[in-house]
Amino acid sequence: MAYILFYLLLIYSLIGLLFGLAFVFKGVQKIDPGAEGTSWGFRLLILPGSIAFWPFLLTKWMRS
Amino acid sequence: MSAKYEAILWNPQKRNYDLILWGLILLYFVLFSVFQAIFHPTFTPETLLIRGTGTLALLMLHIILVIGPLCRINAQFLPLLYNRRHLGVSMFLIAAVHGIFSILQFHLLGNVNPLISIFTSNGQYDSLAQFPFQVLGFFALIILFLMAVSSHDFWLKNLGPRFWKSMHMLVYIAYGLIISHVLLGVIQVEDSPVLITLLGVGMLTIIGLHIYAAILERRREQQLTKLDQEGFMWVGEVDDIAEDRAKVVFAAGENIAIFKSSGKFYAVNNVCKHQNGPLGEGKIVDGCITCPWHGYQYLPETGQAPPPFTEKVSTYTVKVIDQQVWVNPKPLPEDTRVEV
Repeated sequence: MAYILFYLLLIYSLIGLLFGLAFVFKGVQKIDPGAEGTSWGFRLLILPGSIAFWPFLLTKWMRS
Repeated sequence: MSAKYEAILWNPQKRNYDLILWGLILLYFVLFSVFQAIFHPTFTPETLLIRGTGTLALLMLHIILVIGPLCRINAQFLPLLYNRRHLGVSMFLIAAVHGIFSILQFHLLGNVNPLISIFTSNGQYDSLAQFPFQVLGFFALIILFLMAVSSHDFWLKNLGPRFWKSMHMLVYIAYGLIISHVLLGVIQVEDSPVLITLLGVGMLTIIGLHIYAAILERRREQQLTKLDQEGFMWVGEVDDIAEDRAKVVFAAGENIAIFKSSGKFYAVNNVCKHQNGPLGEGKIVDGCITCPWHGYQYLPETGQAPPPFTEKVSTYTVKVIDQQVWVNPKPLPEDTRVEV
């Protein structure tokens, strides 16, 4: 059980990392105009959250 | 408040808050190290770090949890609330150091993946005395992580206030997990009752302050209100409200903040559109009602945030008769200009 949970978490996080990098570069300004032209500091700050909440953000990005 | 996001909206108050916060954190580590060197000279630096970060994160979590009720009981505590999110993120960083070093110290040298080892190295889930308490700390850290990474305003807007607030209320679940983590851990490795006693005092303080603040708020809401023939509610005398400050009254299910500035009176809904902060506990700065939590601003005459911002709060009609201030609890249509 612990192994299954670990690998699920690993896969979720890896997908989240790939998504998060794309999101903070390209996607964030698509779902929120307030992020247009924002600093690297801001994008770096939202990267961990983008990894954690990637399914939610992906849905929002696709809808936009 | 900002039309374009920034990493951190620094201002002098936030800088001071963080300087004092990290100064105190440093002081704690120095005192903790000295104390341990005297009473536990055999401890390794790793053990010192694990215990120091663990106890500090626990202390900070207690402070975070009492700030809310303390501010509801006495407005003098509001400066503590002003930058609580930095306190929360700092607490998470310290808890993360505790978690990471604990995993390195206790789970790295085996032949099982350290993260899996947390769950499998001790299988006595049916024993209270030998329960694998690290599992509880792990789940608490996950909650604190989710809260810390979603603390920026970007997340409040994009996750939605209801989901965001619900997620951040998980801090109470995290607190329960951490208390269990510490209690079960202490039972297994410590003989001294000091830590358990301190934990009990901390828990009672948090629970007691929350209950007391709730009772006070309920009393305030239930206070009998005086209404005139036109349905206006009595607020108080002109001098009851300090210059550029407000008095908050509860009417028709809403808290209304009545501000006084330069001899004029304005009434707006007490709830800030940003994070539901109490506008009535703020003050008028540069002609704008300024929320004490994060500095969001509104023009007192219209309830609108100054351009280019778009947030609005409801306004109410105010009248002053014979030095007595009255407010009509029925909210006015948006953009109505009101001043008396």
